[in-house]
Formats: sequence, structure tokens, C-alpha cells
Amino acid sequence: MNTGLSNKLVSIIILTTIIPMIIVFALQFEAAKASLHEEIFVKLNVIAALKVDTIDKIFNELRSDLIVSQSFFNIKSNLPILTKSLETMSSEAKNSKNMLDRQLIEFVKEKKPIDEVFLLDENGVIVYATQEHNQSLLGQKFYDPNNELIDNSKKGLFLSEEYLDLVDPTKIRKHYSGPIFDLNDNFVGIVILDINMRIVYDLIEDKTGLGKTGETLIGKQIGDHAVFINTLRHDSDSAFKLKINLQDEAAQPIREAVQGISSNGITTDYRSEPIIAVWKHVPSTNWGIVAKMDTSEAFHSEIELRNFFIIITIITTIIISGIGIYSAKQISKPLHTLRNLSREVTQGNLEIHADENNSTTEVKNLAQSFNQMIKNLKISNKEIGDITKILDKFALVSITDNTGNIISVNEKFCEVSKYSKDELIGKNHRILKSEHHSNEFYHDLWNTISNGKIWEGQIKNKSKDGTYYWIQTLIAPIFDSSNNIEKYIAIRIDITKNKENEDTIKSQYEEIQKTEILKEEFVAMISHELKTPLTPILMWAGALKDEKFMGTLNEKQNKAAKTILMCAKDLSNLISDIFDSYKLDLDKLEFVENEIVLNELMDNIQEIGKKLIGDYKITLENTTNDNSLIHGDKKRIEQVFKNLLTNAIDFVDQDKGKIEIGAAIKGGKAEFYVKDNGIGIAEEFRDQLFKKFYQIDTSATRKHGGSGLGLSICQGLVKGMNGKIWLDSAPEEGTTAYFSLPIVKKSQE
Amino acid sequence: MDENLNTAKNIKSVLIADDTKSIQTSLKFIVESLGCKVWISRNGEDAIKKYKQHKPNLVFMDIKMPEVNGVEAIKQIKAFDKNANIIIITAFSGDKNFRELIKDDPMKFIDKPFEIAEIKSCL
Repeated sequence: MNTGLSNKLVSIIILTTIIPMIIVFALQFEAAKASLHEEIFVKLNVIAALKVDTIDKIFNELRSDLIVSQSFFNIKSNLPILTKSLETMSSEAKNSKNMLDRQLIEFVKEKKPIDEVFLLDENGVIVYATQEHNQSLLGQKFYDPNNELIDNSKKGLFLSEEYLDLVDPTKIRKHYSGPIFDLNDNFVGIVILDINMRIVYDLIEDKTGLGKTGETLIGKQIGDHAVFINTLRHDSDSAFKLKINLQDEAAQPIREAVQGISSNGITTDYRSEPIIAVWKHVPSTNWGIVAKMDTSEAFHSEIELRNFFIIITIITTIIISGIGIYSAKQISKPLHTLRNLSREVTQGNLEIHADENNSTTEVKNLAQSFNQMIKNLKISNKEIGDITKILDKFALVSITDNTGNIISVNEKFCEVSKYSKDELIGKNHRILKSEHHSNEFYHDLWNTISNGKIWEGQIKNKSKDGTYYWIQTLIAPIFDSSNNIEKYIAIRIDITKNKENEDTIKSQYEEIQKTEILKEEFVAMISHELKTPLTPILMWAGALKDEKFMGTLNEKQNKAAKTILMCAKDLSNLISDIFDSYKLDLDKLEFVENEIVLNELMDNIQEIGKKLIGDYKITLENTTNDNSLIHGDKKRIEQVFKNLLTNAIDFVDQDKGKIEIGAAIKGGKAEFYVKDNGIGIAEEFRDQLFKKFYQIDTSATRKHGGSGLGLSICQGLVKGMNGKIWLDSAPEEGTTAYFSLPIVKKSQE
Repeated sequence: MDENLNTAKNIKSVLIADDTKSIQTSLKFIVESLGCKVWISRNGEDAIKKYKQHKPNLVFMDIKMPEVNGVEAIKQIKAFDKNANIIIITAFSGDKNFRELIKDDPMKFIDKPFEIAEIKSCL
């Protein structure tokens, strides 16, 4: 972290400062280099041009001097005289010589580039020379290594090639010559201006402005070669000896210059050294001239500049890197400290504190956050510790590896399983297995947890002493960093006592259920046993009452028989009502489904009603006109009607009473009603009516003994058939009882 | 009250199967008074035997009887004579088992206790 951060910071600094700096330096350097080159080229060009001009000037002047000398009267008149008397040296000849001396010695003195004036006769024999040391040459043929002088000079002005002096090989000679005509324009001889080449060479070899390696040199083309004709700075024996083949690659400047090309460039010279050069053609002499300098010298300042830039760059880089590394360390030092503290935290030491007195706000905040984190961690640790303590008190906690081998268990685990920690750790959890659960049970458990899910359930385990215990168990997988199951943690609660209680409750519940069944059977039996003796009572009382069976009774006997019959009927109804009410309370009343045609049902009910009315003069009208087929419990519907009709009969006047029944399909339901013209029911009593044993005082019109269960049973039956029951009534006008029932099969509802 | 003692449905003979003596005698008196020949059985087995023997026009059959009960007796009688005219007389008409029994078979039944009028309407 430390070095990483430093490296990053240093890299950033280099990227953001040094690289741009290098780019600027490079651009500056390129610009400086270009202007330096330009400057050198200009200088070399000036030197070369100046030298070309000077050489041209010298040779042009020589040419003028030659023309002037040709026209000298002195020469024209005296040359023939000297030619004639060369051997004898007549007085006339001496006179002529003196005349020439007077003019020409002065002429030579005056003209610096002229060393000597030779006069030759028609055959090229020297007849006159100005200088004392040349007097010995008189009468000799003029030395001409190229053998061209005489012929060319007869024709006109002629500039000879350069050549080395016969006596002094260091001396280079060159002449300008031309024909002499006498006053009659007859060719009489040749005048030769012997050129002082030293002047030209001094000029060429002048190294002013050319530094330590620079020079100017001249050459000329001879055949296929460029030949150097001066002594070179780097080759003292070069004149007329060093030749460059024009087809060669080297010495580009001189090759091009002797061929008449003027140019410049950075190239190589006769030594194959890199040079910067300017080369030109000298028209007057047909030479090539080169002004050049070694690049090592010419660009010396450029290299210095480059080195300067490099040094500056290196120094700057070192300084900036140093600053970068220093700053990086300043920044990373507190981070390094925090890292070390973090390591301690990972090793479990929470009793540490990071220094918050850092001048950098961010580092300070980091330290504060770190301390806050430690604080929170301590709180969490304490909470976890507290929770673990509580958990250990009532739960069995164990951790196993991913194959079920126990890694750790708590005290409670040992207490319940009766094994010691040493006996458990390293063992597989199977040692606690009881034979209670099926293999599928354990298979399912393992399948769940090995798929990374939590398993929850109740397990019966076997303790060390062979007793069994029940545990409510939760097993959760714990994952490692690559999301593989590493361990399982199991938290269990001992529910052995609960299980025992559960068993007790179960057996008690079964007991109660048995009792319930017995009770129901008992009630059914009671009902049966009560109804059975009522049957012969009704038979015999009915037979007594009806004279067709047992003859005529007296009035008292008849009344007694009637009373017995009525009471037996009431008792029968009461028994039925109590039994039904009891079953309704227990929700035990069963319903069946019959296919019912409404008209038929209601006709049947009308018949039942008529029997209930018996001897009273109460009219019973059936308004039903509906052949719909409905599904319902026929007997129960009849039972509801029976109760409602019984009530209606009780409410109406025994002579003027009118009861109307009807049924129709309304809104997908069958709606039934029983309407009477009785005393009616005040609104406040209507809800009460459906309560058990509630009775309105109908003593004036009452015709039956009532249990007060009728409407309560009706409501129970209608609700049992998923229907609704309600009353509509106005006092003194009568009451209508309605109930509606679903008409489709229960399975279709 | 119907004044005519003659049976409307042309029932001439009746078998009464009930284990309660008082019901046997009272019902026998009424049915005989109404002009029918009456046989009595006090259990199902006897009822089956008497039915096969006399082929009565009508059977009043109690359900709860010793040895062979009414349900079994009805089954066997129906197996012997599928047109047998049987009316159940029972105090268990609200009982679930009984209602299941008669659900698919439109057999008549009369709740105990019944009145003379109800007996008359059967004859």
C-alpha cells in the first residue's frame, strides 16, 4: 500500500509535469537546431560567395591587364627587334630591352597578381623577362607541360591549366597569354602573364570564419574525376593528387561544384566525415569551390544545447520525483499506520486507537471513521457476546464442518446430550441419531442444507445414556468467501417437555372426542327412546278420539283423549326441536341435496300445512307457479316451512285467519315466504325472535304448545343451507317470513 | 279426517317390522281396523322370511332392530322383490346415516312418532 501509493503519486507527477516539460524542451531544441543550421548555411554561403567573387575579380583583372599589355607600343615595336638579335644582343636590342624594362618592371610591380611578364617569339622561345632571376631563361623554349600554350596563344587570349613548377614543386603555376601583333598587324610573338597563384591560394586557404575544422577548397574536373587543386586542411599532400571519381558517392560538394552545380547541404566530404557545406561554381576559372565545416564543430552548440536540455530534464525529474516520493510518503504514512492497526483488528485486538491529529483533513476523517468503526465493532461484539450468553442458556448450539463432523458445541448441548465436549468434537453428528426418523427424513434434511438452504424442524435424538430428547432445530449453512458451504451452524431448543405435553394433550383431546361421540350417541338414543313410546300413545289416543276405531266416547272421555293426543304431539315436536337445536349448535346437522321441482315442493308443503291447521277454519293458499328445478334438502326446507307455518297458525285468528305460502326464483335464488294476517310483530322484537326460547305472547291466538325454538331452528337450517331468513311485519296487518336459498349444487357454487 | 276406512291404494296386506311391542300392537290395531291383513316381525331376519312367505302389499319397517337391522332387511327384500312397497318408520330420520341411505332411493319414510292420519295416507 505504501509503495503502491508512492509509485502512483510519482507516476502522476511525472506524467503531469515532466512529460510536458520534455515535450517543450524538445520543441525548443528543434527550433534552436533549425535556426542554428540556417545560421551556419548563411555564413558558409557568404564565405563561398565572397571567395568566388574575389577569384573572378582577380582573373577578370588579369584578363584586362593582358589585353592592355598586348596593346603596348613598346612591346609591339621592340619584340621583333629582340627576336632578331637574341643571340648577339645588338645595341639596338639592348636599347629595346631597356625600353621594355622601364615600362614592364614597373607594370609587374604595380600588379600584385602578376609575377612576371614573358615575351616569346613566334616559336615560343623566351626573348624577354622582367625579373633578374629569369634572365637565364632567355633563348629557351617556354616550359609548357600540357603543350598547349603556343598554339592557343596564337589564336587569342588563353588561360592555362595549373601545373607544378619544374624547379619548385610546391609552387603552382598558371598563365594568361595572348598574341602580339606589330604595328602592321603581323603576328610577332606571344605575351605571357605569369600569375601569382599564392594570392589566389591565400584567399582560398583563408580559414577566417570557418572554425577549427572548416575550410574552403577548390577543384576542377579532369576527365571523369574531380581533382583538388589546393592543399587541403586535412590532407597537406592533396593538391593535384586527390581525385574523386564523379560516379562515387562520397565528396558530394566537390563533385557537384566541378560540374557547375551550386547547392548546400549536410553531407560527407572526401574523408567521409559528416560536414555542413555550401558549394559553388567559379565561372572565370571553371573551378568548383566548397566552403564547409565538420558537423561535429558546426553543431557543437546544438549538442551543447541538447546536453543542457538533457541535464536540466534529469535534474528536474530527480527533484520532482523526490518531492513526489516525499509527499506520497507523507500521505501514505498515516495510511500505513492505519493498515497496521487494521491488521491488529483482524487479529482480534480492539483496544487500539488511531491518532486523529493529522493536518490532512481526509486522513483525520479517516482516522475518526476508523475509531468510530472500532467503537461500533466493540458494541457489536458486546451485543453478539450478550446474545451468545443468552443463547447458550437455553439453546443447544453446535457447529459442524460440511460433512457433519462436530467442530464445536456449547454447554447446553453437552447438558442435554449427556456427552462431554471431548466426546463430541471431531465426531459426526450421527452419534446422536435415534431410530425415530426415517431415512427420507434425514435425506431431506441433508438435501436442504447442502443446497444452501436453512432446514427447520423437530428431531428426536438419543443421548449418551440412551434416553431420548426432542429438539426444535434450525440448521443453517455458512459459506466461505467463494460461496461454498464451509460449515453448518445448528441452533436447537430442547422441546422434550413440550413433546410430552403434546402427547398428553393429544390423548386428552382423543378422550374428549370419544366423550363427544358418546354424548351425541346418548342424545340420539334419548331422542329415539323418547319418541318410541310416543308412537303408541299417538296411535291409541288417535284411535280413542276417532269413533270409527273404538266406538263413541262420552264428552269427558273424548276431551281427555284429545288432550292426550295434543300433548303427545307437542311433546313429539319439542323433542324434535331440542334435538335439532342441539345438533345445530354443534354444527352437526347434515344436509343432503335433492332435485326439487318448486311447484311439487310447495304442493306438498301446502298439504303439510293443511294437516297442521287441522280442524281450524284457517285458509292456506299456495301462490307458487314455478316449475323450476332446484337443488336443495327437501326435508329441511319442509321442516323450515313446518316451523314457520306453526308460528303463522299461532298468530292468526282461528276463524278469519289467512295464510299464504309461495316460492319463486329471484336473482338466481329460490325465495320462499309464509304470509299471515295475524297480529304482526313490532319491529323491536323481530331480531329477538330468532333467539332460542324467545316467545311473543300469543295467548289470544295460540293453538300449539311451543318450545320457543322454532325460529332459531329455522335460522340454523337456512344458514346451514347457505341461505338467508328475514321477517317483514306490520302490527295488526300480519307478518311475512321470507327465506332464500341457493338453487345450484354446492359443488357448482 | 277421512271417514272412509277402506284403503285408497288398494292395500290388502301389511307387514309391520318393529322390535317395540307397544308399537307392534297399536299399529297392528290401526292397520287392521282400516281393513288390512297384518303380519308382525320383531327383527329383520323374520321380516325377510315373512315377506318372502306372504308377499304383503306394504311393509312398515323400523330401522333399529336386533340381529338383522332394517337397512339390511330392506336390501334383501328389494333383492327378492324389486317392486316391494316399503315405508320406513323411524325416530332417526334426521340422522346422517339414514339420510344417506334414502338419498338415492326415493323410499318413503314416516317419522316416529306418527299419527293415524299419516298411516292412513300410506294405505
